Amino acid sequence: VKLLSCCALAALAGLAAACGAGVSSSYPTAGALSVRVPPQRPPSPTTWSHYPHFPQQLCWESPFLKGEVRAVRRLAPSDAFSPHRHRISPETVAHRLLARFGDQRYIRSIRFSPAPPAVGRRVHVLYAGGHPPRDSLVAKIVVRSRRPLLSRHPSPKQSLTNAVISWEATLVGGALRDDLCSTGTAPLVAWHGAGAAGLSERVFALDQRFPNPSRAAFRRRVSLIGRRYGFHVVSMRLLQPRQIAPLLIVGTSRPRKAFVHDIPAIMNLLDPTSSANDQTANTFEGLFFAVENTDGPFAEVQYALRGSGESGEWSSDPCDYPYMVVGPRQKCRASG
Amino acid sequence: MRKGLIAVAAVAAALALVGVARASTDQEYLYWSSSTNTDWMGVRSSISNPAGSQRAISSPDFFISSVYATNGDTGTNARALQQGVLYIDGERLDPNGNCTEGVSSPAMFYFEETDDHGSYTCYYEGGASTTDTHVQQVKKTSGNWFAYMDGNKITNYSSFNWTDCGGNACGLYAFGEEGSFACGLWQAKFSGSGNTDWQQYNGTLWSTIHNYSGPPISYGWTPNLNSFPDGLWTFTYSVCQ
Repeated sequence: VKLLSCCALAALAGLAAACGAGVSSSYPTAGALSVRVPPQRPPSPTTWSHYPHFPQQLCWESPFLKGEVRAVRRLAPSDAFSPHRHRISPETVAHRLLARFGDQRYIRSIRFSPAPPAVGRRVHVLYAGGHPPRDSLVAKIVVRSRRPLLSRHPSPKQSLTNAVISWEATLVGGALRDDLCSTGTAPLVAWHGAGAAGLSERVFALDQRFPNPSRAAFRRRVSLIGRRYGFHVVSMRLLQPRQIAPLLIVGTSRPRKAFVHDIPAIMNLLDPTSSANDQTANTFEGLFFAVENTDGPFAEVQYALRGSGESGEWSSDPCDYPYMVVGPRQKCRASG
Repeated sequence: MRKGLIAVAAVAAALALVGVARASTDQEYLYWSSSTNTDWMGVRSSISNPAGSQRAISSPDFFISSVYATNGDTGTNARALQQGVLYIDGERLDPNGNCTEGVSSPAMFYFEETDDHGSYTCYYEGGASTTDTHVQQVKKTSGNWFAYMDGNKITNYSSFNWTDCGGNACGLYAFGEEGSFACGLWQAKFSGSGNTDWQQYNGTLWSTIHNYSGPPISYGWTPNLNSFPDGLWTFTYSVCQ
């Protein structure tokens, strides 16, 4: 980020060329930049059909907040609502979700309880003025063990584990909201646990259908990107909250700083996007990418796009993150 | 030869300029901090989104107006929660990964962010309308910290807490930030007549904060505290405008 500022200021002084030279020498290139990775962008948002109607009795969402732009945030087309003929219990829906999820290390179960009735101050504080149906549910996502997050000074490995657990719980919450809606079981108004939580909010689109590649195609693509940017796969789980959400941990022998600098470009290739008409189409509903070297993990980036708008990053170097860090942070002198 | 010397001098001057910027900060804020345990369990303020004439952005960059509470630590020991409005331009240069994914660029939207020992998570909370005013708030409830907008709970984090500072905040902020020392304009507007002042919560009552520190001398920022605490007070970032 501060290199950008360097460029901005140098440009003001008419010295962009000098700054540009500094950038390239600061970040050694990967070993195989000649490896070409095809863009494979998802279909443009202009190809999406109109956002369908979802019955609030089965798929309740809290209203837009006062002053909020009344636009549903879409990252993929949504399937039209078609209720199941046979009602399925919430427990069955949850059991099926966890059975297909693809990682049983952290999330143990999902417990349901009735949503707090919309009365008194709760109507405003919890439901943004809305009134969820009486059979609405709240889900608690239960993890298998105490999270290392509780450590006062988590190690890089603990930080990585914490991030995976929270990300997985966020994926599960969003998928559960869609599963309960599409099966016509009962509206899920909120979920929490494992360091994640969410409300069913109108701003987040229901039942999005992401244009995932096949698992084999994605594995080949990861291999290609790895050759280009100098990493190898340490572990790859193609989780399935509803569709594929890759959990990818890679190793590299490249200089840490240079690799961190390349992470946004790597993410662009792992989850290609298309943009049009002020909308962006993503390929996956979630993606987790972490990198380690012989000293252990040193950076991660993740996001979850189904039923939430959550994204995050971590770096072992508080002065060097893959993306811009917003808000309070340790003051660092710029490098480069 | 002479041209070469001029070029070297120009480069040296530019590097000196960069050096000044590096030593500076892109954040402007008022804060109230303590090195001992406190009873501070929340912070809030009315924050008005800048009008179209009060904001301009050049990609890639971002601006923030927010309130936040911290455990008083920094870096890998920090825990902090902030709530406010974010204005950003820059395709996939999004803060913390993809917080703005799926929205137009430039985009202004409400957000919540947690800093969990240097692990940052951003939560999109919906698009923001120009010139709206909202009470942005973070508050500790039943042992955990939550973000609110106009009293609506933004339950994006279920167990965000810390043990430092007796579990309460050791730092409360009214905060403005610009991302990359670039050209741009942003007016972070707090409080205002008839609105909610910058306040702290002691578990029972909200009260206006008078004992602040800051604002620091920050690159591009000009504070205007003439109407502090109950009139409109601002931090304005203006570079190349």
